[in-house]
Amino acid sequence: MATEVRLPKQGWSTEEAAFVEWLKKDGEDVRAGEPLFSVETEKAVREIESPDDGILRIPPDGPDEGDIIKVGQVIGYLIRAGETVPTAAATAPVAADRPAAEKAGPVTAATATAVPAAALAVPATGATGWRAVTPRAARRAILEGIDIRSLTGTGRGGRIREADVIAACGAPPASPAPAAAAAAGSSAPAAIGEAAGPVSLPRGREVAINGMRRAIAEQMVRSKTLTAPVTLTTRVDAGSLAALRARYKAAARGPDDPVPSYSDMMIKLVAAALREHPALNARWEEKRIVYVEAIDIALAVDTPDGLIAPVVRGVPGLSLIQLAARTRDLIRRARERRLSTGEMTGGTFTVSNLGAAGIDVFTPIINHPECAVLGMGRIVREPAAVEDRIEIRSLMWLSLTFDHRIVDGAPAARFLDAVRKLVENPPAELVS
Amino acid sequence: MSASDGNAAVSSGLSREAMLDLYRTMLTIRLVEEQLVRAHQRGLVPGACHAYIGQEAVAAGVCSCLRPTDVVFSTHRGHGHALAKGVAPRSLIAEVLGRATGCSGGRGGSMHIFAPEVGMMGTSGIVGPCILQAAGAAYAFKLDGSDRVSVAFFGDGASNNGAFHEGLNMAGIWKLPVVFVCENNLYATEVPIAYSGANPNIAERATAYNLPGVSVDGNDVLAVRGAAEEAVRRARSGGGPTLIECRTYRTRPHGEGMGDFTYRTREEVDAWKARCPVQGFRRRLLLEKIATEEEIAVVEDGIRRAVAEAMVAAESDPLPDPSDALRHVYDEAPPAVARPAPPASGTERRITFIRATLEALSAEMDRNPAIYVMGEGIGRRGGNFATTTGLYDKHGPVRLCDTPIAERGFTGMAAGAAMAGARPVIDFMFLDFELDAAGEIINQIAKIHYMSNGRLRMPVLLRGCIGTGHSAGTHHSGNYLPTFAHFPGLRVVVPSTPYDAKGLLARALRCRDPVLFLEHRELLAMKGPVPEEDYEIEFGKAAVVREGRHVTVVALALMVHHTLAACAELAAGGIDVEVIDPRTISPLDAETILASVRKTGRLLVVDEDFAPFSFGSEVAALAAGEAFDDLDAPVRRLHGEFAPTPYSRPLEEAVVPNPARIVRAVRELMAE
Repeated sequence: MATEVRLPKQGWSTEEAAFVEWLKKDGEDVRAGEPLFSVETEKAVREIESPDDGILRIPPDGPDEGDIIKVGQVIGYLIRAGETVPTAAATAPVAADRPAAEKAGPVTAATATAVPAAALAVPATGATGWRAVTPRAARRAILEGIDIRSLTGTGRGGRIREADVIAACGAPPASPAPAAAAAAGSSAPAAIGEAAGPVSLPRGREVAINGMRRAIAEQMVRSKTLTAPVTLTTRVDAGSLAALRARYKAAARGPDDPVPSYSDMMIKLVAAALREHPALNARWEEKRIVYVEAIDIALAVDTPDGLIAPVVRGVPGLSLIQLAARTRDLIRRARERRLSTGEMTGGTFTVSNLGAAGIDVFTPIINHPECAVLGMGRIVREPAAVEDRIEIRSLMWLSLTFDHRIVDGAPAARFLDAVRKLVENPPAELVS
Repeated sequence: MSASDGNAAVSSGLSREAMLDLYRTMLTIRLVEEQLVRAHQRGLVPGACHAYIGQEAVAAGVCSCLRPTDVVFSTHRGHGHALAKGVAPRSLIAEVLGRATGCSGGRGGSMHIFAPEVGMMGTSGIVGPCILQAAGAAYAFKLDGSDRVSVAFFGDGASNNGAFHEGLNMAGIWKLPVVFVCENNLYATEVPIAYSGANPNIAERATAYNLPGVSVDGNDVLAVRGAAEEAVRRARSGGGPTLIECRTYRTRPHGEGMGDFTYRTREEVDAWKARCPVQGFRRRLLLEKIATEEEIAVVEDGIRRAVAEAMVAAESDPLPDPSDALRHVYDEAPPAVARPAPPASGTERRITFIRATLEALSAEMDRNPAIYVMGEGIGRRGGNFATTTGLYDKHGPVRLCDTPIAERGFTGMAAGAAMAGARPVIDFMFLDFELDAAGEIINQIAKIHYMSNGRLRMPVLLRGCIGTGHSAGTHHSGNYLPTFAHFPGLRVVVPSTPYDAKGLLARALRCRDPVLFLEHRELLAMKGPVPEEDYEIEFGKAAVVREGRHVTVVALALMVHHTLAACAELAAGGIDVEVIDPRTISPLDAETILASVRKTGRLLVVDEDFAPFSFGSEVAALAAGEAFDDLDAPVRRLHGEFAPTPYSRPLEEAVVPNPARIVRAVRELMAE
């Protein structure tokens, strides 16, 4: 049976090393204890002794000089004369040779059956679909209905841990384990049967949860679980905003000239209202509430990959045109995924506009740890009572969700009413 | 008119009835032993049987001088002592036959015959401890002011054992009411005293300890009685101990079923059989006309019938219920916690760990006159670590007793003292010294409650320093925890704070089981909040010292503090550690540990002691066995290095866990 050549543990803290060179050639006879290859750690270049007698077989995908190899990683084999090299099973190309799209459904199972029978004789851990999994992770996977073969382990040597299962189901840490243990233990066969149910649900296209989807999910769950959201709505006469937008459109000299959007105007007006109502220009921190001096407002942006909320810094200092130019840049870069983390965090308030999607009223979700979010509906021309007359007006719903931990209902209502007044009579200095 | 008319004094000065009683006792022993020999041959004795045949005059002679309230401590050849002290033949035979009705409920057999209600304080499978236990019981009588007397029976073999020398020395120092009766039957198992004793005259050894030593014909019951009478009188009147060497012979093999003529000759045995103490005394009764042949025959018929009936009864007695096997390992009804622990958070006062233990000890000594403390320098000096400061002035030298450097001796005495009603506190200073007394603790103190079928209590507190630090060197740095926690019968307490130390020591002094109270050297001067009032902390209740979500660390004593120090750094890296301090490792609070592991999914045990077969192994096995499905990583252990503790600081620091090593171990565990 072939002996695997691995990088042995190097001292206390080294987990990996840079490969330098093989000290024996492929096919050469090697005796146990002879120097076999050398590696460089942060401290020194070291020669690694051969673990066994045999003929050295260096796989085609073996490490090149400078490649980082992990402690325990298999980089070659020592075989006896006439023995086959288990490289096919131990390396990725076999799986890669079989296009994942070729077969629908669970890919790993197909991969496992695709491995040549001869290769299966070699006990190469991690190569035949075998993964280490902790008992806790296995239980969690069953309870969540997750196919454990679909997971990537983040533990030592790729061991699948509970966190990997949680990551796969996108849920926060589960209810205390003992309850689950008790449930599983009280009637084990039934529990397994029930838990197995979700696995047999109709399958379809499967998309791995990427980092962005996960980040959004975590942010939403955080908001949902950590804040005390209350939504207030009011209906405003947006005629002035419509007139403003028409005026800027008409004034634009070309497609590169920024025309302020309704969202831009709203950000500007909200900034003015926040100045008068600093209780909402706040951020929750675990031991304190920070009433922020600066007025930095985030704008919810829909991108192909999902929701992103870049922050417009120093809104009061920007003219409406400048602000429009700024949001145009942020939106473009958000869609290209080129925003830095700093450009997506640190605001106190978010504006979210679903008007273009034909929505009137909604309950926007707070961008934790901000204080509040203002949702804009579509602008609809419809009859309205103006004093004792009926007039056709451009009306819009505003939905303010605020964190009741930070601010109470009455001040939040006064803030929303201030926004309404500003929308209905926008001060020239704000919008000119 | 018979020769035995009247109660005229005979040559011994004894009454006729007393003379006949001596005969009755010897004959009872002889007939019971003959029954047991036959029972062994018939396969009715499941274990060992060491017959007393040939030595009956010693037990009968000595015990005839004792009161029912006096106590005797015996050997592996102890059936005769039990019968002479008043154990009923059926009770003894049933025990040797392993019956539920036996005097030890079938737990002991021939070598663990206990009948404290008649002052029979046990036969023993270990040679020597009975000497110390008898001295200890005598110490208890000195402490409680009674005029009871204690007797140790032992063989010539024991006279070459350290227990003999330590016991006689201490009994001599403190003039204890004890009689040391050496049954010199010429062979220690099969090794002759002529070979094994540099001075085979055992009685002479008494002079080394400034005691009277007398040698008598051990086959002459009146000679034995005469010497014993004087020794008992001397002991009872405060004159101190006596050594009596009774030269005698066992005419059966060492144990039934063993070969007999590899080390002695048939002729020698026959010669001693001709000097049979029972037949010799019978002849004397006739010769001195104390009783007629007919009168003796009546006595003999009665005894023969009674012993035969006892045998028949014992043989038909029930075997013990197997479901009973685990009873009496510990006190079945421990006293309730009378004074629950007040919250530490409510107290301003901060005192040291050792001061906290002193408060508990002082309060209990005021309350309970049965407590005495023994150790080196714990009297006027107040203890090497100030464990007894001020108590000598208050309670005097009997309750605060400085000892010679004889750990085995005074620990063995503690067992006997506890059996006789005292509550000894043994202060070892360093627990390393206790190893010299390990046999007394593990073979005697831990087992006697069980072996006596729950009738004898063993409320002994054994305290001493553990732990590495201070360049104390390898003979003052050990932990030894698993040694003690391994054995049934012992309680093992390992406090980490002054608050816990006070409450746990108070509990230990009320607990009726033997307790090892292990005080980490590096914590003795540590201060912490300690309420002024008396309180107890229940054994087997772990403390959740710090709550956390990601990983459970179980640690004891100093390692609790090292772990807490590591927690701060780990928290800064986002690792939230839960720290469990079991406080006692026997009993171990498995539930609290398991609940934590079920929460976090990860377990690291930090244990200053060596890894193999350790506290760490135990907790790891617990988690692997009981929380297997909850584990999200392999269980890890961080132990002291597997080496004797070196002296020089860099070497010493290299062999014990510290906060940095704990941080690394936790991080590695989190990466699993």
